[in-house]
Amino acid sequence: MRAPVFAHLHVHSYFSFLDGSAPPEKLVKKAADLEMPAIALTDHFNVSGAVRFFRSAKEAGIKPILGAEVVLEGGYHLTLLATGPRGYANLCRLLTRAHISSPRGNPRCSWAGLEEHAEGLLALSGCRRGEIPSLILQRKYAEAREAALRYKALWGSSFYLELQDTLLPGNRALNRCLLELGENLKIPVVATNNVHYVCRKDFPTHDVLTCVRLGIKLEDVHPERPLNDENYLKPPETMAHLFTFCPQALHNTIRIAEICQPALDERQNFSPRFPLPPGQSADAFLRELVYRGARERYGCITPEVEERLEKELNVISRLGFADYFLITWDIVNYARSKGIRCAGRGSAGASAVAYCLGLTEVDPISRQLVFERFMSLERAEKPDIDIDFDSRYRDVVAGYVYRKYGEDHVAAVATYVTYRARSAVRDLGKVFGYPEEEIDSLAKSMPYIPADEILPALDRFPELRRGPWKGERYRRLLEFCGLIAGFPRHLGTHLGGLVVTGPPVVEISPLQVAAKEIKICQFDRNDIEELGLVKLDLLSLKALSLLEEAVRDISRMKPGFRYEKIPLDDPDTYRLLNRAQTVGVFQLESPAQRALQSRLKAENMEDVVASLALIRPGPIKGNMVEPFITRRRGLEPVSYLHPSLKPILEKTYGVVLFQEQVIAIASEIAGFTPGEADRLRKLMTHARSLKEMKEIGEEFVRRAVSRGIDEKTARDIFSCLEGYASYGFCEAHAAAFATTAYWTAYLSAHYPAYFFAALLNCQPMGYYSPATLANEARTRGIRFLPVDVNTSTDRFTVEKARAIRIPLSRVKGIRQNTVARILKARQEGPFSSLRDFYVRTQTERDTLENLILCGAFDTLHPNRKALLAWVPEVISQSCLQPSLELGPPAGIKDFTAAEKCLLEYEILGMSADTHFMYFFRDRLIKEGYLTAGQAKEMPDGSRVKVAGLPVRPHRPPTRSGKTVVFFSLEDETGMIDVTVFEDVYDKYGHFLFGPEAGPLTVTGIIQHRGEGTALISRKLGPVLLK
Amino acid sequence: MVQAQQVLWRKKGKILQFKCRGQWHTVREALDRWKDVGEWWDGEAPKLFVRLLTDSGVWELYRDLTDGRWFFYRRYD
Repeated sequence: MRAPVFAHLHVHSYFSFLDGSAPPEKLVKKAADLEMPAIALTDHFNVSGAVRFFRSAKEAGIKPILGAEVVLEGGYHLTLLATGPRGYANLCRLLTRAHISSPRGNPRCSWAGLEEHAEGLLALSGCRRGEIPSLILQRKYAEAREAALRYKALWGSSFYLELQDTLLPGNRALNRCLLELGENLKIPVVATNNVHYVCRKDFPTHDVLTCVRLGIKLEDVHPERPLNDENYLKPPETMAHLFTFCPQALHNTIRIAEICQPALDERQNFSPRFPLPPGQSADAFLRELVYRGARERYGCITPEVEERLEKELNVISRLGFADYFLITWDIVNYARSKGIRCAGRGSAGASAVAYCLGLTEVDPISRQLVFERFMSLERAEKPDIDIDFDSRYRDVVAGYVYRKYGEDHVAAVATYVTYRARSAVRDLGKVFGYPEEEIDSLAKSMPYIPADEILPALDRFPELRRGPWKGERYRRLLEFCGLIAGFPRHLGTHLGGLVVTGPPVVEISPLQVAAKEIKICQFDRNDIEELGLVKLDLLSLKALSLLEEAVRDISRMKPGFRYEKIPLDDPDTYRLLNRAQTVGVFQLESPAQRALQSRLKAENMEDVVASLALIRPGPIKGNMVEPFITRRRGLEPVSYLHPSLKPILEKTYGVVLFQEQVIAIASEIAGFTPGEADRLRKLMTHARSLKEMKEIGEEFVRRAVSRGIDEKTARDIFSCLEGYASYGFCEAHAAAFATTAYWTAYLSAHYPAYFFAALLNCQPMGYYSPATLANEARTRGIRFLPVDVNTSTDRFTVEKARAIRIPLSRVKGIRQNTVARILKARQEGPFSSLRDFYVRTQTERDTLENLILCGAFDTLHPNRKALLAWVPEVISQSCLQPSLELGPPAGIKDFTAAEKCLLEYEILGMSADTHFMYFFRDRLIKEGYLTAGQAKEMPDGSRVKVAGLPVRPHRPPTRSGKTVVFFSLEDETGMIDVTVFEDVYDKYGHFLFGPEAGPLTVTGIIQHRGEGTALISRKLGPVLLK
Repeated sequence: MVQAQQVLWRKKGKILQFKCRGQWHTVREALDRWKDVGEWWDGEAPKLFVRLLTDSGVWELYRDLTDGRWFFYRRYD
């Protein structure tokens, strides 16, 4: 084996965000292939690639060196490498300081910061934009020497002059000067290549991304654009050839690689500690709380309960997660003490400990939920307890976590915002200089697919077949989109994740400021997990806000009303579910759920729990929905592939519905331990290739056969699991959400006006737009009252029991402080005219006009157009002659009713009086179109024509793999659900998706199933708006 | 662009002499070299530029890296 001669120490991955085009794994693999002993990762001001970099280096057997390239206050670059954990901690602190103390997106390191955090770091003088090279290039030799002495004074022998030969003008002279400076000042030199991509052929991608970063087109000249393609991961031989003039610079890379030790210590425990009462251990305190909670939950502790709790406590203690449970318990306690509604969700519902601590509301013992779905010794992973909070107060709870554990120990989890089809088209389209409107149209037509699936999608999706992008002119753009698929573009904020650490978090990850001034770490949830950090998922759930809002208003009318007291067997609620009137009901409102409800005929909470799990890709693709419904309704006998499946599948009528059942089947049939069975479930979930799935299947069958199950039965059982496992729901989660779903259904059944008002106040949430929700409410007999400057407030309010007043805050463009000003002015008496309103509120002209156009002054001046014409005079005269009372000009004909409706849609996103389609009704009747309401009354098999607005067209995965589109067609009478099969979609899909989508005519066949109706489309077309 | 008709290389990639507009020029020192990929998106070939000190002044030549041909770029008097 030849001796290693070189290691790359200045390397950017695609985590340099638009200034690098290689995943860390590819860089490591290439370095390993080139037999380098080590490689460094030095992204711009971040370490987001660190976890993947370390993992892949470990796999490849080469040493990972972690560092970063920073920019100093004078704009000079500097390369820093961590020589070990101490250096890494200092690097994180230094990067944090730079991010936090500089304007967002433009971090700068101060010299004082460098001085404070230099320990354990090794510094290289940087690329041509480094201080010393830059001064030399400007021929400021004396200043360059002074700077070099300053760096040497700070870092001593840990400072190196960086030599690069990337074939740029002046390189030779620059390197000669650096070499001379090094010799004179006794500063060692080191060769680097400022790597930004793996191979030379990756250069165009890097250049295109650079253009995105700089906001320029390909043909634009910019000093930061690379001149050539020399910044690739050059082989040692190439580097040796380039540096024949200074072999020492090559040898020093190896010397540095030997000095640097891995910066992330895998054995280090980052877990936070819960502040315990004196003399208590975390395990003992947890046990005390759990048994206290168990006595409250169960009354008396039976041997069954005790056995379960002991088993769970033992696993928690052995894995060292007692503090994690205590911290979560403390947070939930805080929320409850402040009256903030919260509920645990997810697999934590399978834990009796979580139930007894009050973290979840699901009793896993009575539901027979396997604890191993949540935690197991075999898996030994950190448990994930997700808690939903009323979305209005989630940040209050997060604030408590920061206060309790210290700002230095808490940060929000990041997300890597990566390129998908739409974002890639938008960013690269600009760089390639395509017309903005064409790019906009293409991006809007683009389904939610990865960026490397665009080219095949052009044939697959009918809405993409039209337009210029199928031609050669677009080919190059779309190919480049494919090349950047999955590349991280920037860091975002995870919706609910907070990382809480024992040591200061700023020594584990640099922090930076994201939108809304939130401090985020630089790792996403997967990396956090891999690092062994504790992550708390404090999620915002608007359904909880909706419940709180509605109950607050209802209890004003009906004191003492509390939703905890809502009976879970209310006939009116189940009637509402059976009629599929579930628009707005949490988790049960999609067209597929509504169709299910009308056929399932739910009678109890178990049916609701099953509903949540049934409409999931797993059961749908596994063809489990039909058997479940027919068996549940007694139309088909319940059968089992093997008698031992009966106790597992009895509650779901022989159908595999929950992830817990997969675990139980693997244990019962193939003899897996519960932990092994859950691992199998996870493997099946993540198996992405047929080969992987086949291997898992063979293992299952082998073990089942060894337990006496015949091979065919074992294979049949596995094929059931296989169809299901990839997208199944866990029962604990379904059960946790089912109660919230039921409560919202109850409110919708008994207090529809309050329910819809609260629902509209919590927007955006759920499946439908405010316009659709308002239309649905209207079909339930609720009136909407227009915005009124003298009556509307800042929220939807119920008036006269069955009417909802649209708030001022719905008006497009209105500011919060304008609404506050109007409400304050109104306290002194109602407004008497537009002029009076303006004089007292000084509302901005745009908002004033919008208020007029949506009818907010109708009760004062019924002619909106005349009022609009009066605005300039009102504004000018009110300043000059405040006491002069004038009126709107006479003789102006007002808008038509249809125009008013359209304006309301535009300004409020909804109309108070009616639906947009109402204004076409006369013509549509003449042309033979039925309303949605009429169509639903037609006999099964009737051929009908309906026109309306398409609502939420979507293409869920199907068992056959064929495309089926579902959407609702909405008009003034309500909605009818439409199904579009592949042949029809293929011809008319462009009317549903993309820029041509709009009001639609559907010709098709009526199909009744249960109390539900679907329109099976034969033809789609646009409604001509003449 | 005027094509440099002939460029003589020594073993280690150093240019000894080149012939341009019918005249041979002897290189006393290679002052610099750099690479420019140009407008790659338009199919422009990458070029290697050299700045050479000769008896007749400082010359810049470039080599088309796709076909290896040399061209005269500019001359400093």
